[in-house]
Amino acid sequence: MAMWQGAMDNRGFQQGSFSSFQNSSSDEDLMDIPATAMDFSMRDDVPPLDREVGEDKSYNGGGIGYSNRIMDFLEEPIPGVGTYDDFNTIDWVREKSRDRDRHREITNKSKESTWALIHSVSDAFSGWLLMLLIGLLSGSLAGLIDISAHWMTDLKEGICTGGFWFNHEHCCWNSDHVTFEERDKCPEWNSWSQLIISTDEGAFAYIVNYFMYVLWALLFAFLAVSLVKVFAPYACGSGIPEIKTILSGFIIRGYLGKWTLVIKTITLVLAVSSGLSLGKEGPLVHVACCCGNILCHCFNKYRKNEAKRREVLSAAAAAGVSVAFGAPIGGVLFSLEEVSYYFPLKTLWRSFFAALVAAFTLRSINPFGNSRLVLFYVEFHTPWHLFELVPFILLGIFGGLWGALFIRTNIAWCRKRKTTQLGKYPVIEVLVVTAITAILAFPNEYTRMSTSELISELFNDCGLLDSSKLCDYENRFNTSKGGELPDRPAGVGVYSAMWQLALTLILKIVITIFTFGMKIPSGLFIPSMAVGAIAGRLLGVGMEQLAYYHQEWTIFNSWCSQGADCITPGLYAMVGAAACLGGVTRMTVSLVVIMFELTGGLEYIVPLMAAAMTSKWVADALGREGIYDAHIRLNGYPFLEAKEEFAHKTLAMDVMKPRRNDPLLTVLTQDSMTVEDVETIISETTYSGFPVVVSRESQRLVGFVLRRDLIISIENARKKQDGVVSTSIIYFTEHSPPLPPYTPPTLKLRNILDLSPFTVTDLTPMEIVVDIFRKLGLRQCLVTHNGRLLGIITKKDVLKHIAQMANQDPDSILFN
Amino acid sequence: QPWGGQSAAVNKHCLTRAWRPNSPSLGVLGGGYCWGSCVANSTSPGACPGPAQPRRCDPLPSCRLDQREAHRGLHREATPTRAAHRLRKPTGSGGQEACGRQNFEDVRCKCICPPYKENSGHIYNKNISQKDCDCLHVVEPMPVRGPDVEAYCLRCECKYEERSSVTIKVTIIIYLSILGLLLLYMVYLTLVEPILKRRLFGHSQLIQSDDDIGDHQPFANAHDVLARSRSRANVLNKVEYAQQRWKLQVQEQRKSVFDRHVVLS
Repeated sequence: MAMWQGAMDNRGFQQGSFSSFQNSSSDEDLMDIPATAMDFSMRDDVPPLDREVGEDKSYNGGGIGYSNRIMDFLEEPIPGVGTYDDFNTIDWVREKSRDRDRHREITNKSKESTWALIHSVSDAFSGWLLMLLIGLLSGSLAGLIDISAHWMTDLKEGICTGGFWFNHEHCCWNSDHVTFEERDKCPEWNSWSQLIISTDEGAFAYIVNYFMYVLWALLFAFLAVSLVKVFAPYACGSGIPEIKTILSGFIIRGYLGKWTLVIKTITLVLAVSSGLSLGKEGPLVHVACCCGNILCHCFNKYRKNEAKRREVLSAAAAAGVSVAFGAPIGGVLFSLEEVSYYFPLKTLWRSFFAALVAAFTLRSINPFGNSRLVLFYVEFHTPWHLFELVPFILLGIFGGLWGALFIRTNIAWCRKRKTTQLGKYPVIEVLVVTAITAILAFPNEYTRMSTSELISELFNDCGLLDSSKLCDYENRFNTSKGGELPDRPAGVGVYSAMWQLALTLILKIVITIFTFGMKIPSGLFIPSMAVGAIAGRLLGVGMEQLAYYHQEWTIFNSWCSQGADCITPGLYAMVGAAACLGGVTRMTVSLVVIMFELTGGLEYIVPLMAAAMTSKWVADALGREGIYDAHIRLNGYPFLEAKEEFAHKTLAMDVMKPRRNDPLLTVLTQDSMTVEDVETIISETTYSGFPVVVSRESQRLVGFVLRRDLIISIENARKKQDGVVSTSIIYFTEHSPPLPPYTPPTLKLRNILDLSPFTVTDLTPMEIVVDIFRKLGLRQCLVTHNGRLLGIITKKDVLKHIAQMANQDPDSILFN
Repeated sequence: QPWGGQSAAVNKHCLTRAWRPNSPSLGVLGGGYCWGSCVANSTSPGACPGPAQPRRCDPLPSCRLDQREAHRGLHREATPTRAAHRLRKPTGSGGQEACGRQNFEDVRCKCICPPYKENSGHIYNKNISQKDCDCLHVVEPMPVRGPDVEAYCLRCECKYEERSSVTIKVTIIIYLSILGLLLLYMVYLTLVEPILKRRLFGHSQLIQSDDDIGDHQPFANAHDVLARSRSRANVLNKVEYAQQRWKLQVQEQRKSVFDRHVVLS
């Protein structure tokens, strides 16, 4: 056994130092076969499947795991070794190989005793249990947010005397005094003017209501921003750009913590209720990820392994979208398409389960009181006609234009906030924007109502019984016939609604640009959808009237006969919403799935697809990246985009450090440096890891050691190990040579050494290097020349290089 | 809370076809009942009072009736006929749901009836089980009579809805109490604690921390406190240490978000 391990280690070492990456990758297939054969004879007790993983590992940096296991017999692992600093990138390869080691150990042990068997079963089961808990928790939180946000939104207008906890709709739920003409009025619900000056009529009452509306909005916004500022600054924003970065392997400590969860949940309700042009969907993804991260602490498997934890977070993001939109499948696809970086099939199934549980929980809470998961459920199923694809594509173009405009202006504004004095006054900024929004919103009934209600009204198809102004058509037909309503001429109400909607559109477009990115929880799904839905409804009503008055036109006369229901304005609103959302986020598949799950309109997949695709084309033509990627770049997060190709003909030696005029690469030697030497190197440099070589003269690579591990280990050894002083020699070799007498004891650090770091030759094209970084999630890669260590490429170098090649400022990449 | 509670479809066809299924969950096997005549497989014996006179009783008596039926349904579960059991079950659950004291105000059947001839439009609300959620059961007193009933009812749209007022109440109260606690704690941290600290630690502390720009923000002196608490770690309880550590973290976060603008901008 030991011999075999030695052989493996040795081979890993040789490959690391003597062959280029291409060699090793082609070797992999060739060498697997003899190695497997050898393995069979030596380790009969290991099941074949597991052995394959073991084989894989020896190439992917498993050396550290092996040495760890040997060291386990000698000493306990030092706490803190193998963890990461704040704002650093994890090494996926290392984390994954550690998990495989752990898993193998448990499998091996499970044959020894019943207890170990139970342990292994519970370990295998813990992933699903964790998903169940995440689903339950995020579903309940979403229910809490939904119910409270509805109530607080209505609190701006009045209060229920029949029970202060009821919102307007539920206040009048059982009232017998609701009349057909004024359906939302009942004696139990009191507007503020009724309470204060006991009348609801006249100019003074209007002013009182206006004043109270603005006052409540300001109060909610102030509470939200001050809670965020005092308790959890990380709770602001939508959170999706950061989650995307975290899932790609970045570490932001506290971003998914308890306080962030509490504050984000509480302030999200306040922010939504304040009437600002923002939605709760993006922040709910963050909330669900916080749930996932917190619950990970209960399970050993996920607590200690950053890569495994990211798998859980991917699934939690799916659960978040699942409850945000009531779209479980859409959530899974959203996680796959938009958020996740590493998404194996196992995570897909887990996401599916988490999304299912979350949706189930939310449904059982029944927050909307309509026994449905979503607020926007549409009930029409009228067919659409081929010709209508033209207006749908027009809506797609509008969505793409809006997306590009929004991203540009919002990023410009956010950059201004980041760099100028504006960023110094987050509270005042929030209050000013809230005040402007509230003052402009109150006079117009479509801006006064909450955005999700507006969308739901716009999606709705007009029936005979609808009382809203949007449905004020002239009924010139014989009303005795039930069933489908034909197209009707618009009444006065529709025309005034059109004007108001046009004003709402302008306000939403402008104010959303300034709202997104403020220091309160703010999502942009709902505002974008609102913009699209308004534009779509306007176009839809226009088309409807056109078809009604010009039935003789060739395009209409084939299918728009007298008394036929040929144009559904609600469908146009849906398509417009999808187009605008697609233009901003650049989603395609998940967007369409979310939209039809959200509305229940399964027949309208083709129009939605057409609009989503057009808007993506248009938006991509005008600006390369979606809003989340743009924010990632604005903040300089180390996110290596997997979707884009790297197509420049540069070589690894053009990117690696040290550059030509720089001093030589800082290396450690395997058996000749003292503790003091290493400490000097640590204090003089800021590198987060050091290559270990055989000797400075030969520069032959042994392995790679991380700065953090080195610091912790030396500190620990100085404290606990007897006799370790500054002159003690540090060994990274397997066996320390016999010591001459009267020398201080040595410090053996082989257990923190990564024995199989990734290496490429200096002539490797950068496209391959970028691919390696992307697909394996590497953190650094060593560059050799003729087998001698020459330099190092880190993820940051790769990102800077990509930025430079794309004519962007390479210094915008801030983090390691 | 029953799960089958989708809003019932508007049963426009029942009048013309004189037949409708009992509830969607029953499906094909479930049977239904007939408006025109009391047919054999009607769900409950009392559900078909007669052709022109739909059942009109206040919720309470019918409620008792339903409960009795529910009991009977439970007893009959032992009988071998599955169809009978299937028929009973929804009646029973519907009855219980309408009768439970809490649920009493949590279900409604809302019928919106548009203007018809000389009658103005009206909205009717009634606590009624899902299977009875139609115009004939809910609209009372019927504003039209005779042959007009059918025409009037065809225009009405009835929707069965349920909610849980307890959930709403509990959620809002939980939310408000958490918000209240957070606000109190915030006020304590930003206003009360600095005053207390100044009184306790006197003038020297004041001068020292005034050099720091971050002093105007809450927790600015967490560093000092943390350092002090480390020195007498034996005495200090762990809670305060954790609190100080948390304060430091938040301070760090605040610096990176609000001052340096490195993340989340």
